Amino acid sequence: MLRYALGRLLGTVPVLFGVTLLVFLMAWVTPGDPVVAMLGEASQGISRQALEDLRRELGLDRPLPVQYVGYVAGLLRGDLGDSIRSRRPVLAEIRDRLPATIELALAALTIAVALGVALGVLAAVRQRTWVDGAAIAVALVGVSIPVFWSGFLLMMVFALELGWLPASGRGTWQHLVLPAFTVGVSSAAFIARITRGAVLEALAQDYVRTAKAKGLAPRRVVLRHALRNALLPIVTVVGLQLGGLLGGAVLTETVFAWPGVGRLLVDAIVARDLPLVQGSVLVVSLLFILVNLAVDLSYAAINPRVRYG
Amino acid sequence: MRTLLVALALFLGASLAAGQTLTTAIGANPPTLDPQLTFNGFSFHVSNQVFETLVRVTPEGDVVPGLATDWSYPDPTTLRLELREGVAFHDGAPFDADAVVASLGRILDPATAAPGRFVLSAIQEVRAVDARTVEIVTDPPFAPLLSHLAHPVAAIVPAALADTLARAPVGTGPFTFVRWVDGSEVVLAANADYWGGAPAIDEVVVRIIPEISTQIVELRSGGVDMIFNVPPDNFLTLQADPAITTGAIDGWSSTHLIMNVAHPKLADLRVRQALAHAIDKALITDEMLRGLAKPGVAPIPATVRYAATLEEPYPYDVEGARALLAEAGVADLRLRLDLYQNPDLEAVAQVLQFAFAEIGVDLEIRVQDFSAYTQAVQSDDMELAMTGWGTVTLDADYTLYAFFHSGEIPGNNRSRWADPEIDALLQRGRDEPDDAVRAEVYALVQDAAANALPMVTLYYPRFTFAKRPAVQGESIAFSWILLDLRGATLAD
Repeated sequence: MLRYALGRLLGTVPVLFGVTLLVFLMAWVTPGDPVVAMLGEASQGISRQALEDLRRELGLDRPLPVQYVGYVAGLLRGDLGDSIRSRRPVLAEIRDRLPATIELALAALTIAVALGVALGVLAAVRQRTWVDGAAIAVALVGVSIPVFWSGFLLMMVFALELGWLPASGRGTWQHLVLPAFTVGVSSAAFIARITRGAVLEALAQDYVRTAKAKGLAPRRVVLRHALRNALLPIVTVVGLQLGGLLGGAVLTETVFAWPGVGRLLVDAIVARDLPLVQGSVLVVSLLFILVNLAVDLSYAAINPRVRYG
Repeated sequence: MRTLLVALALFLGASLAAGQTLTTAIGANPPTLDPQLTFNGFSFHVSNQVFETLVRVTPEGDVVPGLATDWSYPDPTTLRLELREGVAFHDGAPFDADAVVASLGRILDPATAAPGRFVLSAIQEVRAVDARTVEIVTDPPFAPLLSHLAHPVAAIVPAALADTLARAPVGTGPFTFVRWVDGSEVVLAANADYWGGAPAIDEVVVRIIPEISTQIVELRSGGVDMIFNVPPDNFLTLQADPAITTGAIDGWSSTHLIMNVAHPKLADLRVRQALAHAIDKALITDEMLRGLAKPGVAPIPATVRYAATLEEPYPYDVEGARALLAEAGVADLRLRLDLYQNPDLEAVAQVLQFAFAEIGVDLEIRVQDFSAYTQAVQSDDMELAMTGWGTVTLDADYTLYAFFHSGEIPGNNRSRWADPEIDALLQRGRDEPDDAVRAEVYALVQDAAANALPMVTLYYPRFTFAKRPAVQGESIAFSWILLDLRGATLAD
């Protein structure tokens, strides 16, 4: 299993280089100039000569492929380069934002799993009753409502009308509640649908009939036998959700002024801050890969028949 | 019991006085807090509280003393400034002529790669005459120099701390830097030793809240005290709220429809005149922008030094516009309008599309991100372009030279309007120290431009803000960037 994990980790290296190449190629084919993007409307007051000087002084006059080679050379030494706009090391920029992203992702995931699995199991057990219908409807609404809207709705009710929670920002646990619920509920919807399907499938298996025939309590049959065997697809979808959340829940971060990686990446893209875009995408991809690896490794714990090698 | 009450009252009074925190919200994380390393409004909004410039511009547009108390021109190329006594940087280092020389030297040094160096690029030399006097030399003469020294990039920074200013700014201003939680907030504290007297407010918290709707919820729920650049619809809603005070002031901005006079489709003045006649500017300012803009004629708003007051030469007149097109022998005209992502500009573009359709001109709108837009309008096949502009030095030269000097084609002179007489006038405006002569020169340029139509100045947006009524005594000139909190108080 250790060998398997190490092999998978080594395998991520070419994937990550592929990611940087992809980001670089996108930057290459996109028209426009980072100095103008950085200055925005203000660039209009600047003479062409002054813009060219600035480009040269910032090292942005070199052809992009040359810049990319320099970037990769730095990467091999563990140097992600400096942001063009802030001139800080990219690693420092990401380090400042990562805790907020991880905090929100874990809180949202906890809500999503609790809510999603409960709804999914309930719907499966009470299949084709009003409980099932209601659970599916809730899940459908959760998937369909844009977080932009649900986030504002929660903010209006709990911050403005009731005054129970701060509207935005990060600091205390109270600040975490609204964004975590906003993201959590929309992820819960996916988990609920997968859980329902997986539990229904498990409930149709022979061993469940056997368990029922033995006279086990229905609760025990569902939780110990059906849910346990339905875990594989659930864990897979939870892992995908977590990987996605670690990439930054951009819209939720924007609505709630949550200082996470998602907003950092979007700001960097708008400003054409290529080193920062590269670095953020790289770190997010790495996290995604690690979460997926953890999910794969957990299969063995869930189902002893799974072997790595 | 009575002593206890008195003590309690004293304690409460003291804690109220000690705990005055003013919280503002801005829409993005400042990239840096070193004003010499950026040209970003979010950076300037914060750095302006910590750093100061040699001179300032008042809301009335007058240049007044800042870190310099007096100035004179011993000859047309030399500006001599007397520096304020008893000023120190927040770390205790003295503010003197050497500090000014080092600070301006740093921004002018190519190694600094300062995005705002162009503001000061006319400067040839800065020298200390004695501890309290500096001389700034420009050759040739550069009449707008004082206005440029008031720009945020010209702030005097302690050059010895060059490497750390970006994250830990140290200036001479009314507020000192406390901390910056990236993407979340910047916290500043009153500078008790400020030369102008300590500010009444003890702490300023600048929160970073990207979404305007969130800013409004925070304002209404008490999370922030002041927000800026409120869009027209939100502004009207807040205006009706008795718990909120709103304000709209004339700013330094202008919005233009630029026409490429070198393009075959637009070379005929009558075609440009027809387009100008087709636009109902009052419809845009009063209906679409809800009165938060003024119709424009001159290329610069009245807040800018040497702005001309002009009669509208091409008032809204659809029949006249059609007649001009017929006279020019133009039928089935199709034009492309370039603009960048900006909700106001995109809405105005649709108004123009409709207005031009009325005179039989088919308008194609192309919206791109800013740098792609810039590339597009610098190419020769640009036809029409829309842009928002700020005369950030508040001197006519900044805008008129960039817009109309032939040497700026195609960089900033996107109309490609080239006229040797205009070039000569613009150069004279830079050379001539006399106020009256400059005013005359710039009046001629503005009048010529309004008639020759290299561009239609559509409107001058007003700058909006909203605050809790408790916030008083703050001063904002022209832009949220220049928020001055030295005299601000919080009533509750």
